[in-house]
Amino acid sequence: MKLLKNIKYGTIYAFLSVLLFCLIILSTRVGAVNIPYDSIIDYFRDVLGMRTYGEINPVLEGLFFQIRLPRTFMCFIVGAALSVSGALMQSLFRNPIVEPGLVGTSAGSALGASFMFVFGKTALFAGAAFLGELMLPVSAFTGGLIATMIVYRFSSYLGKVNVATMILAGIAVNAMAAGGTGFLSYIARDPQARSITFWNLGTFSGADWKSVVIVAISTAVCIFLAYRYSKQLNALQLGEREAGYLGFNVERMKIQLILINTLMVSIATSMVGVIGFVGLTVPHMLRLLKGSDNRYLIIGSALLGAIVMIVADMAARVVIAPAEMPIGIITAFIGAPVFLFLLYRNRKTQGKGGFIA
Amino acid sequence: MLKADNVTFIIENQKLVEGISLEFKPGTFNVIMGQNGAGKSTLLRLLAGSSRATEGEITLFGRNIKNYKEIELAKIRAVLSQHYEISFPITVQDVVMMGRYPHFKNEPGPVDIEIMEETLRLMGIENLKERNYDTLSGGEAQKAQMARVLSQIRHDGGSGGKILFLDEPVSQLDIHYQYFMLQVAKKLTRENVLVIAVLHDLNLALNYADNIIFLKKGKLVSEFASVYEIGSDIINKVFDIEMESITNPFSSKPYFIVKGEMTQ
Repeated sequence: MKLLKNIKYGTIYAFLSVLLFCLIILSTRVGAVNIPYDSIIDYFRDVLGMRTYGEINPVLEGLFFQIRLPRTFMCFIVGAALSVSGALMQSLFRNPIVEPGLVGTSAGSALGASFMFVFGKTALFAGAAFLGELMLPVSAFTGGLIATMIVYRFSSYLGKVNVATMILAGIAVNAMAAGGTGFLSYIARDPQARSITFWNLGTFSGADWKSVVIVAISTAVCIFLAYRYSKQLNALQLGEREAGYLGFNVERMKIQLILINTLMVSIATSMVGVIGFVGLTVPHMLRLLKGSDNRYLIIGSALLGAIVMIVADMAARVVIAPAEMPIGIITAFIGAPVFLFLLYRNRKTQGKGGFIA
Repeated sequence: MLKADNVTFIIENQKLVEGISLEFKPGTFNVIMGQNGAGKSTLLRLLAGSSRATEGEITLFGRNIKNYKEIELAKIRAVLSQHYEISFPITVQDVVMMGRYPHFKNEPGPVDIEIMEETLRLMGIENLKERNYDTLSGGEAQKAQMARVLSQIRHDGGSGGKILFLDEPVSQLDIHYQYFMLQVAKKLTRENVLVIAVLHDLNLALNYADNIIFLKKGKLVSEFASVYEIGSDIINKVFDIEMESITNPFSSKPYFIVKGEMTQ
């Protein structure tokens, strides 16, 4: 069953893009203080040096440009990164329940990032100081990569991924990383790093233009690179050996994709913390709409992931306004039932379970 | 066109294939037979260039198979395995189109689409084109996979022979599908395709093979130029079971039946 079987890919992308654009506008508007649309237009006219229609409130203008706008873009980019990562990992592991949160990538990245928060300014990293702003992402990447490789090595044997082992190894690595992050949070002086909920449930409240730029560059490059593997990922669904028979170097592809994927996830995680379930559910929604071609899944996940994340963040800001909820609570509340529904539907329609790697 | 020269394959100190030399000619149907664990699939993977020989070498068109890139090999040979599991919803035509992946870069061209349609017709499954692969029966699924490997080695103006490897392709299929699949492969030999298959059913193999290679414990027991020469002595030796040959009245080839009960 596919809901949009006869609709072209281009039409879906166009629809998602329009929806995304509308949500970006809406997201910059709502929050503890609502900004009217007229003012938003005025702010842009003001920045461009044009005559404004009404009075400019400099506080609100600052709020719009320095907080709302970077935050919305951060949601956009991180949503895209996590969802594309979910699509990549599900195809790579040939398994529908994989996502960066499950295989330890996110938790490992969070550990790497918090490690840098706590020890980054100490003598320990004096030699790495030349990296400057990049020290945090590099450390997150290292943590994410180690965690992913441990889980992958444990769960794959002779070219097959054992799902049960993968889940258990994921639990162990996640627990270890979360424990490490928790410990670091206790000894941290930096108020942001001290918040354990920041790392475990994620938040976009700290987004600024500098971090947006870093995440945007890495995500754009990674999605571009990942897209070039979509044919290989399709072939991989037949099995590793079979993909080799179709002319692909599977070993090289696996390593390169794990690197690309970890880079994308770890940099996003180092800025916003661990946000679960988005990477899991978004690719499944797309499969439900129109099949499993990885070209479609990668582009579609980038768009739909951004949409989902922006909506979730708006909810996080609005539900208990003027206070704010960690976004991980929202994504878990929406994502987990969707996942259960997928399980149920899968059981009903296929009988085979479909969870065979 | 494909030649194995004293090939040995060792993994974890075990010799799975030992000192095998063979030569395959285009347009022939070759069957590899032997007991479970005799090294049949290993030999097939070595010949297909998917595993590397520990000793000896395999040459394809006079060039060591090690020196081919994956993509070069993919344009020359295709491999059909016993069984496929696909975890995600995918249509039959998308599966078949994968066979054209070595031939196009981003989007399939008109030739690729034409070949995809043609092989679907050839396998008699054009009506299943839009179906989800997951909903197919075992036989239909294997037909779809056969359509995929056929479209991979379909002539596209390029010269030179193609090779079709079949690794226990019919072990899970009913008799109708077994004969249908091998019939399709047999037809390809008339277009000068070299077919190398691992099969378990001796009489099925005799029906289609030009040449049967018998393996036992990784070693070549015997290779017959003609299937008419296969006698019960060799079969008894290879399979450790007493069989007697009678003459198949339709093909006048030997036909093997089990003689009485097995003695331990």
